[in-house]
Amino acid sequence: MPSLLTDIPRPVRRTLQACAGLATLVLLFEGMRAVGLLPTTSVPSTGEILGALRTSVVDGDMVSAIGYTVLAWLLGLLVATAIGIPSGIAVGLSRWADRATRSAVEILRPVPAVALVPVAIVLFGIEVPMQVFLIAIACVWPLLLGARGGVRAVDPLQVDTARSFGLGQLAIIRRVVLPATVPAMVTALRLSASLGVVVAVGAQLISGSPGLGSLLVSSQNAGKNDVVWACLLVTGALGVVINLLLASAERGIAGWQALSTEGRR
Amino acid sequence: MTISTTTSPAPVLLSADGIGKTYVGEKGAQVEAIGDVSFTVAEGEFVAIVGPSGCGKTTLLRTIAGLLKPSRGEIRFDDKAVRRVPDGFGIVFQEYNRSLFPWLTVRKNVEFGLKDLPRQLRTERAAEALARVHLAGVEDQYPWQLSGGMQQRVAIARALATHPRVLLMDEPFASVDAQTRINLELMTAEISAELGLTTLLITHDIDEAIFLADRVFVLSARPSHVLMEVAVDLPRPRDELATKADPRFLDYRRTVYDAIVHPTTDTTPIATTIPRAEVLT
Amino acid sequence: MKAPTFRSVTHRSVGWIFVLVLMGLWEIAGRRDASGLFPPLSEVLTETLEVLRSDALTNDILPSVARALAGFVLGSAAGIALGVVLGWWRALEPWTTAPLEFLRAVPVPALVPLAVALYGSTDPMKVGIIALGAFWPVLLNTVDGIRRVDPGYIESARVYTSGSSFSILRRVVLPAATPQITTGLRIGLAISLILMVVSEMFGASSGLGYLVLQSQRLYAMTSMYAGVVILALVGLLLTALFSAVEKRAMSWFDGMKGRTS
Ligand SMILES: Nc1ncnc2c1ncn2[C@@H]1O[C@H](COP(=O)(O)OP(=O)(O)OP(=O)(O)O)[C@@H](O)[C@H]1O
Ligand SMILES: [Mg+2]
Repeated sequence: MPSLLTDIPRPVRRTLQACAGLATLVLLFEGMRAVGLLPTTSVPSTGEILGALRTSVVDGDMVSAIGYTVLAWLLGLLVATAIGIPSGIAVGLSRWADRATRSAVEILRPVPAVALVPVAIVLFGIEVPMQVFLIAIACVWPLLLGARGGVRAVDPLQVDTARSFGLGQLAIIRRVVLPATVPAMVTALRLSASLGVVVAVGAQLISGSPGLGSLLVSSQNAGKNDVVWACLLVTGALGVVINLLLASAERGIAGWQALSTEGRR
Repeated sequence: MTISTTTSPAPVLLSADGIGKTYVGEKGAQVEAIGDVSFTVAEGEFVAIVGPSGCGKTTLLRTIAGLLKPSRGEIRFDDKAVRRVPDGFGIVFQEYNRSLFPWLTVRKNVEFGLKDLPRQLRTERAAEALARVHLAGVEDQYPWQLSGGMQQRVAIARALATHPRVLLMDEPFASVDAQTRINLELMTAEISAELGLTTLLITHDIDEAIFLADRVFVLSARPSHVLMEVAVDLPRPRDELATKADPRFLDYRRTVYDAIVHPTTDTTPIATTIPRAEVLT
Repeated sequence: MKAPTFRSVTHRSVGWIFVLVLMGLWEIAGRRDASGLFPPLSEVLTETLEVLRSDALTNDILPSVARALAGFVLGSAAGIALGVVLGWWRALEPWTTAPLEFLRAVPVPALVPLAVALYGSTDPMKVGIIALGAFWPVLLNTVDGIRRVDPGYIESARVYTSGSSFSILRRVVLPAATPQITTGLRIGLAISLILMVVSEMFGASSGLGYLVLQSQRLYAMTSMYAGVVILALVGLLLTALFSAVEKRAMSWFDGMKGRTS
């Protein structure tokens, strides 16, 4: 039976469904306010939130908060990648290096990065570098372990194939091991990226270092609840953009992996 | 016996000299895969090695290729001991779908071994190799977008593109359908003859071995040794129907089959050369 | 016989030697530091032991561990439950993707100030925040894991089981998705630990996190580092606990696989 929904072309239908989902979320929020699950005294309405978003964008607070957060996040990820990926590849390639460092990694990895906020303040003060330090510490582990796992999972037959063409160690690493590891690294990067946002906002909240987290706190202290909610809206939107970018990068770069394993079944 | 009429044989290009391989596992468990294998391959010859599953054929090929160090004995190529993969070897692996690089297009896969050549020459070589395996027009696809038989041909083209002197193939046609298999066999025979390649084909298919080879080595079960060596005297070019209906083909087939099914209990390696006259009688 | 034993011993100890070298470096750096900002490891560890022997253990540390554990378990359970629903009934996907993508993108620490304002710095609030942190990664990985189960498994399950959605889900889909759900749990645990610290450091007037921050403000470096070490130990403990449970669960899972096949 042809229904109203199936007659609409797929992309349009998808968009409509997504909008309907988001609208339901807004309705749910307003409903909870109306019923009293969320106190109307401290929780502003959707209209008020959007209004606050507009004014805080216009007066520049929001823009600079986003700017600082994105800057710290980017630099932190960059540092974590620069350290984590090469070390991960090294311990993936060398059993010896792996054995030597494994215990240290096992001990350091579970340390929650925000526990180091006081240390970071002592070392770096409360500006952006301190956030970069904490984000890098949190994100280095998934990247290191992702690269290590990727290198470990390289098919030995592919290495043999390269050897059969007379390639030496370095050429094999460059032309076979690295490309084969790219999907694992991109996945690790996606994981680190959302972890990085969590750590950035957490560190800003605790230390007052500039960014969305501290804007949130200062607005709350000033009694501007609508700005607080606008901050939440913006962090959510920021997260969505980051996730979408990285997910499409993952599909683009690593598309062959998903498809080739599917093809092998 | 008319031994005097045999033309002087081509020089030996590749030889295995008392090869043995014992795998040592993590906990010291030992698997003796190859017992004692020796043979020689002459320049331009097509040699097939048959043996039951698990007898160490892949192990032998990897040893010949210099990918695996033998526990005993030595491989010699061009009168030099093989320690790593020598220049001039092309290898087609048993699990071809795993040996093709999924992040490279078909063209890039075929060009993989040509890194040192200028781009122009690389492209030409790749095109030539793909044409030889009757695969044109898929250059820009990825290997995993192709069928099994096509993937296998890409793997063969990749080995051919380097213009090897020796082509080593490990059960290259084991996992394709019967029709594709026949096509690939004919194609292999044609390429080897045209390029004058020294070819070593590993297979567990007796018919395929006899159909393609000048000589067939029959391996015993693990730990393997050469049970028998059969010189195949069938006219070339070989033909799917005519060759396989030739009474000599059927004789070779029975001989090899008997050797595999009723191997002598004697464990010392024996190499029975069956001269042509004997088989014909 | 002697040589391999010797080798395996060195293999195992080389990792610990590296750890000891790192600790030694901390000690030396601490002793050479004149600024007073970087106390040697020995002093920090002495202080740590002292804290662990004081009543801070029962007053601050164990409650932290309990909250983290409770939040992680609650959040994961909710994540798996909702994940199964969303992963299995695909018709829901187009409607739920956009709102969920938005909600999960809000970093959970950002909710802490609001939660403190609405509910105060209470235990249920902290547990709730920790739970929410674990919830998202577990949910996403469960949904993804279930959607990726090879359709071939599901088809053969339809043939060999009673064919009801429930039994297919329980006997085939969930086991097949287990590895990815486990991945989600591991990420969830890491985020739970971060939130444990955030919820203690933000707006609290007691607790371990509060003590650490307070020491930093007072420039009491040794007790600050001791607090950080204790927080690290809590993370280590909970991660080790998780690995142990995972190992047991997985061996049970492997055993089951072995029996039925
Ligand atoms: N890396 C290895 N470590 C230990 N044992 C191995 C290893 N590779 C192969 N073997 C063992 O050596 C024997 C020969 O294996 P091989 O793969 O060479 O056999 P094959 O003749 O190629 O078999 P098939 O016809 O199935 O391809 C088998 O018993 C196998 O279990
Ligand atoms: Mg084999």
